[in-house]
Amino acid sequence: MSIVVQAQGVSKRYGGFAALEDINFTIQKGSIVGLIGPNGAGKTTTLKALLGLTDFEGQLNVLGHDPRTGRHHVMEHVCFVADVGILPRWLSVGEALDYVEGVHPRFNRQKAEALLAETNIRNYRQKVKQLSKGMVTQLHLALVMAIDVELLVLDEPTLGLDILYRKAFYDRLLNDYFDHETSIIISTHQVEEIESLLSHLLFIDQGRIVLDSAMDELANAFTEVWVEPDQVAAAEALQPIHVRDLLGRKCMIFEGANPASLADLGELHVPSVADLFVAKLQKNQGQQRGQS
Amino acid sequence: MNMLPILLKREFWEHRKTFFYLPLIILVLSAFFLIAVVGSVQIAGGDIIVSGSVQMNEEGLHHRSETNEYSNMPVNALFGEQVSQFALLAEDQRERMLNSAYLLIATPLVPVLWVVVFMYFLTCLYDERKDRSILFWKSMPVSDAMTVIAKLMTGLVVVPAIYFMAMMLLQLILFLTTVVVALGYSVDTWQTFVVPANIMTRWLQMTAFFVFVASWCLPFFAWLIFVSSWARSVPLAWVIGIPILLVMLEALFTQGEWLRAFIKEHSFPGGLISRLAGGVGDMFQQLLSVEFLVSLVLAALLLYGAVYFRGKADEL
Repeated sequence: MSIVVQAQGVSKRYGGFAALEDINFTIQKGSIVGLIGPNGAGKTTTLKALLGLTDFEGQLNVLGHDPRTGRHHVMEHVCFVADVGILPRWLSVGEALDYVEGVHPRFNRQKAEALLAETNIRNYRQKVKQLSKGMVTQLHLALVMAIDVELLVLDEPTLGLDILYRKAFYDRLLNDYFDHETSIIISTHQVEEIESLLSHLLFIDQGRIVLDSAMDELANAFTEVWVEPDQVAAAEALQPIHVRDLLGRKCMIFEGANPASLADLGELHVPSVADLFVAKLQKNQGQQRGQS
Repeated sequence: MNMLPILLKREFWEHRKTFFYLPLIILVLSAFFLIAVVGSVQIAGGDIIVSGSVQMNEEGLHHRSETNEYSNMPVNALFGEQVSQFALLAEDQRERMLNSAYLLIATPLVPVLWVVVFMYFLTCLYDERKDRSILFWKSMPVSDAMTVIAKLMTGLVVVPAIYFMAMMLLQLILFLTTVVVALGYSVDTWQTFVVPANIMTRWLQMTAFFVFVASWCLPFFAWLIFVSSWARSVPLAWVIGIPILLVMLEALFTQGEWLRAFIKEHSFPGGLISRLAGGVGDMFQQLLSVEFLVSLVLAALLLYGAVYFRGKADEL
């Protein structure tokens, strides 16, 4: 598999505040990567850095280009949808189509119009400022999905949209758009929503990557144990990364442990991504506090 | 792929109000005013006493004297007499009078054009950062250099061209009006109004003047774009503040005035008039001067800076 994005030691500071600290990761062709972190963790900054939309330190290679100097080359093969509307308010639907058609060599206008026909947007003379928030996102997505790209970057694409639309959006993304030639990176702080479509996970917290794993490796790396009451002390001795109460039982998550050695402690499960997220975040924040 | 046309269109879409509707409104109002002035005198025509008495009832004594003054003279005769008298003037006098009329009719558009271009350049790389749309524009495969070039072309060529067309249209309306009026009287229309209007020469000169001002003020426009590319707030304050500071420093440390004069002459077309006393020939002489060369280098540096900052630019 070829590498689409490679980040090495990427850092970004705003004054004294470190938005990103020594970020390393790679994105393989054909993968769907979830960049997951709480608000303010550095998700948007990471995505903007790899799109060449913000300056940074370190090495970043996106499809063979450094996004800082080759942004317009990168953008021929990468599309971006941001968390809130970034389409200019004065632009009309028809003008948006004309513009993207005019500047993007890989834009398919018929496809964009077909996608728009499935939305509530009927009047091409309507301006962005007259559209609802959901419609602006639909317009932006229709534009982007009609571009044949190698990497699609989605920054909290469904933020502020209602649940019906969110579900339909991810279904369409997976069924109509994703073809294993394209790679997708989606940032979100709502893990459950995209868990099922991801092939790879990146957890980010306080500007650091705290987990970088393929989805199918999670079961090997992490084990959740519903610990029997009499085994709690023995289980805690094995240093779980997370403990929570579940229906009167202790529920612990272990990292890198041999499942066979845990079997005596209680029922074994594969942790959900959401629980894993909480576990890794609490661990990271505990470490951060310990350091400072 | 040449994307310049679509980039220019995009600028036009954003600024339709000031690039198109504003000059259109001024055009319509000016044309209406012109035709109203000429037409009212023509149409009032036959019986001045009737219109005079109506005005007198409404507005009192003021009009009575006017009415009395011409009370024995139908207005079309009065107008006809003026036209005849105008035809009797020496050719250079007629030319001078017509020249004033042609300049006057186009004049309201000139300061408006200057303000529109000024505001456009001042905000062209600032507003997109403020409203976050820069994230959309930069997510398209358009280089920063291309973006800056498109914006420069818009303010330097597209907008002046639109305003220029409005001016030409107004002068054409004035031209046709004078011709139509003259046809109603026993004067030689061709010699009286057509020849001294110099309409083709006038437009060529205007075009030359526009090209000259656009090149001459290039460092000023580049300065606006440059500030627009990095100012984090109130670009106008930087645009005005920094030159004032530089001029003050120049006065303080060198007692010189070169910078002051340079800024003044390259910012406002008004400051140029004295240099252009000799007409088109003078313009080309100015364009070959060392000062002009210096201004071009300065403009190029500022534009390069704008491209650099556009590359670094993020939402505000």
